[in-house]
Amino acid sequence: MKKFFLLSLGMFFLCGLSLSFAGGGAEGGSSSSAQGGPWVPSKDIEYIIPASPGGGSDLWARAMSNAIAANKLSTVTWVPTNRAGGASAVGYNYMLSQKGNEHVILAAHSGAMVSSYVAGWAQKFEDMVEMICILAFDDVTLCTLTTGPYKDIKSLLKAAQDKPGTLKFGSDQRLNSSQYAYEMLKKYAKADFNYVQYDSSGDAATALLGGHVDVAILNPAECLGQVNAGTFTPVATFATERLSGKFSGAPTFAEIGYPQIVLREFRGISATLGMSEGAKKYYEEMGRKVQQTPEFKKYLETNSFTPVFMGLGESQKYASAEMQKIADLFKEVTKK
Amino acid sequence: MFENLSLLFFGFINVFTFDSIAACLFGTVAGVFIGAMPGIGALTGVSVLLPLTFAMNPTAAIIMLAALYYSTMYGGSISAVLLNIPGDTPAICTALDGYKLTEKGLPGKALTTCFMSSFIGGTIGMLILTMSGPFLAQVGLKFGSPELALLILLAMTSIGWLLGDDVICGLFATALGLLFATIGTDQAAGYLRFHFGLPNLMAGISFVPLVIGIFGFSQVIELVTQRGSGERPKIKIKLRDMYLSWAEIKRLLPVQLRSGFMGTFVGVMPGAGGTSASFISYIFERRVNKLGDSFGTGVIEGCAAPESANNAAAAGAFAPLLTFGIPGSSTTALLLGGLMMWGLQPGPLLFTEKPEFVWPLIASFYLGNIICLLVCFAAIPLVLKAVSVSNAVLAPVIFAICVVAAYTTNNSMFDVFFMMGTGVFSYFLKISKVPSAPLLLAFVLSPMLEKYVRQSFDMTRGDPSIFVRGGICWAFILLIFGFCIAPVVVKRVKALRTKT
Amino acid sequence: MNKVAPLVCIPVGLYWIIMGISKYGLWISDGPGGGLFPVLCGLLLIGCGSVLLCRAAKSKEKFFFDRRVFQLVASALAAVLGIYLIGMIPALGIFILLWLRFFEKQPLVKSLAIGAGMALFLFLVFGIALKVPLPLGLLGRI
Repeated sequence: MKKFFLLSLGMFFLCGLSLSFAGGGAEGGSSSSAQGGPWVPSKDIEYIIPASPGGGSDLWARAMSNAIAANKLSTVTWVPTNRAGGASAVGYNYMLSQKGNEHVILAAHSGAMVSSYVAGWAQKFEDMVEMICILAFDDVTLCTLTTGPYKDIKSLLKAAQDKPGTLKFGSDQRLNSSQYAYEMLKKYAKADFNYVQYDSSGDAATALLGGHVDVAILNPAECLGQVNAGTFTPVATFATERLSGKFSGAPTFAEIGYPQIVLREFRGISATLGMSEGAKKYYEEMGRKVQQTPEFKKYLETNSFTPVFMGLGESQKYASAEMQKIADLFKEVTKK
Repeated sequence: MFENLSLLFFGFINVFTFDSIAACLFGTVAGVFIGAMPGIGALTGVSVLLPLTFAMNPTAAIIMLAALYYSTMYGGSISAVLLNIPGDTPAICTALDGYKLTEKGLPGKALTTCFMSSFIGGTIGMLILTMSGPFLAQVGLKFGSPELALLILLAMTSIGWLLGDDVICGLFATALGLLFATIGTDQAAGYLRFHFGLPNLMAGISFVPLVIGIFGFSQVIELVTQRGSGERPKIKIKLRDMYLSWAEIKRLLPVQLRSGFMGTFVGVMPGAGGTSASFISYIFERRVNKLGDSFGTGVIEGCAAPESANNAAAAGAFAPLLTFGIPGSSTTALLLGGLMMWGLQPGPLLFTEKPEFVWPLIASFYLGNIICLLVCFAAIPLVLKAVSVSNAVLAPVIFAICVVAAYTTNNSMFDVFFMMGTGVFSYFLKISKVPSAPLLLAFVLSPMLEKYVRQSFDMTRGDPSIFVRGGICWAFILLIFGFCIAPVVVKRVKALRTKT
Repeated sequence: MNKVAPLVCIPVGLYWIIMGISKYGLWISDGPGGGLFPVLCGLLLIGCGSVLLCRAAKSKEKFFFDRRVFQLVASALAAVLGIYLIGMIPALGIFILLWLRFFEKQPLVKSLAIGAGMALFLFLVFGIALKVPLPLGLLGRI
């Protein structure tokens, strides 16, 4: 009896073992980095989304991973994995904990990097991840209700200058690029709005639709449906040039005399720290390739992204410089 | 309105294609199963299935995901009733009375009540959606932050009714709920608070591991300690018990109708979902129902109210999604993302420009609802077997499910430890007779209150007059005062009567 | 035990109040700050905690500790730690097997069937159908 027990226990162990290998089996396969030649992934890549399902970063990562799979750019799957929370802090800390793991990358968005500079995080984003590439600008616009009193940026700014503290500025969370945009308007255009914080830009758009705020700061993707239907009017863009399509009516701030007011949110890929050069090159190349796929192109177009390519080194430098600029303004604001 | 009916008819004609019906069938069956598994709910289900749908045609794809969404509301009640572990967060209130019914030996009756209420609630929601979806969505938009803050306050004043016999213990539980809710990112300014340097706490405490701990793991402990002491009598289950008598159906119908209407409306409002809908209607029903005082001891009305409300809310959430392209809950936000991926632009134009997409979807709701009901009734004899499994076997099996489910929420081992911690903690609360309902209610509602109050003050730079800005606000304020004063008055009147 | 919970809660409530007032702020930039709700929570905790403490001091009710609770929690904790070693699914399967065999004194074949069956079920549902990246433990690294 005892023998039988031991035997079955052993068999069970084997069962468990094979199970755990079956789980790993999909990820197994030969690693060719050891055989010389360029680095290629030896198992599925964990594509971390530092936000919840359905948000901008989530769609970004899923669109990219689908484009990669549809065009067979990679032998392995890029598995989008949500690690949301703490204004992206959870996702970034996860990246830090995976230091040196070459099969973990992150959907990078400038908003989270702003938070790492100004929201009291223990580390800045450069100390947690390394930028691989920037693939698109996700420009922000100001939108008003078409049926509301403010049809263009001049009348809106004038109202905010004349009656400070009465107009409501719907936005997502504080200590983010949206607040930077708000502070710039205050500093350079002397327009004094009331900052109303919502959980997400989507909620801010809902509030604008209900007439609870006078203006909302939104990415084109977040208001395209409303703009197409004519319920929202884009009155200005924070980009350096006018956007395309339905947004072309909205002037840049330089056009109306405030050249300092510029904000370009960007999206791309970040990697864990301590990744080998070969792996970094691989991801950079994948970024370049995916940008050219018809699926991803279509995604960029429908969401009114502006495609751009900044590779290794360059993207990191650009991101750091932008963040420093934003952090300086926040410092100035909080000093008062 | 008649135009809508003819459009719905057109939708029905289109929904009877092989693709659509297969999608609907798969979605409902998967949804009932996913709903019944503790820890994974509609959100996980939809996000897992979303990538699979990119190859499908958009109508079939959304029919499948929508079916999955509302059928999890059915499934959630199964494990809530049988095992006292809500399959998904909207089923929390169902567990309060449903499991008590199981302990009384009436699990079949509880399940029948749940499914019937789900069906009626869902149908009410769908009818309202068909008839007046765009109008309802307009009304929902009228609810800005101050109105929502007052609505939540109204619900919070009702915590008193949930406190149980011992008010101090109930308040203590409320305080614990608040304590958990304050951990993480603050709702006012976005700063981190009380995270003690732990990245896992920065996002705040996840609701699902908390619920699994409070219900699931503490239930495991109870099963183990009860073993041998003979507290839980072996239940003999007869299928005959699952039928409701005519009198019971008559008793339930007003409850289901009330909760259905209320649930639809809560579902339409921005930011609220099935969980808030079921909480609010459970509290409301407890107040207005004749049997209100015996809620929580195992009455079928206690199952009917939340189940009817959460299904109605699932249907109601589609009103703002289809009318304006704005999500009412995190699951519908995900569906919205799906729409974009399928090449559809959600927005106010969807109804007029894509009737061939919208109306078959709405028609599929009716179809899916009927399939859900049939699937669930067919499953009753099968799932009832779970109750007849001995506690000895049940305990480790439930534990294993709890661990995997807690992990799945955020793919993190931290949640597993947290789940076990809260499980032990809430077991001790249970034997100290501290109720868990106020804790969960405070945990769900207080962050929303904090957020809406902050937004209201943001709008006016600290001027509180915004809370009396319109008719809706005044109505809520009067209700709050009424609800606070009513019990005192009732007590006085009763005291006077006994004197004379 | 009845004293332990209030005794823990009172200092926690105090900490919540102090942090709420000093660090997060009751009222910042014309609105309720991040500290308002923690302070409310702290006050409620201290209030209820002290009443419960007084009550516990008066009552003579002996708290009785069930040994089985400790056994369960300890073995459950061991199973969870086992996840780090051999992965989630095998650890839970083995936990079920051992628990049924040695704690509940169930027949071996039954325990084995339930343990392996559950492991297979969880693996199929979570690992395959839901594509959850379940932890593989040290074994998975090999």
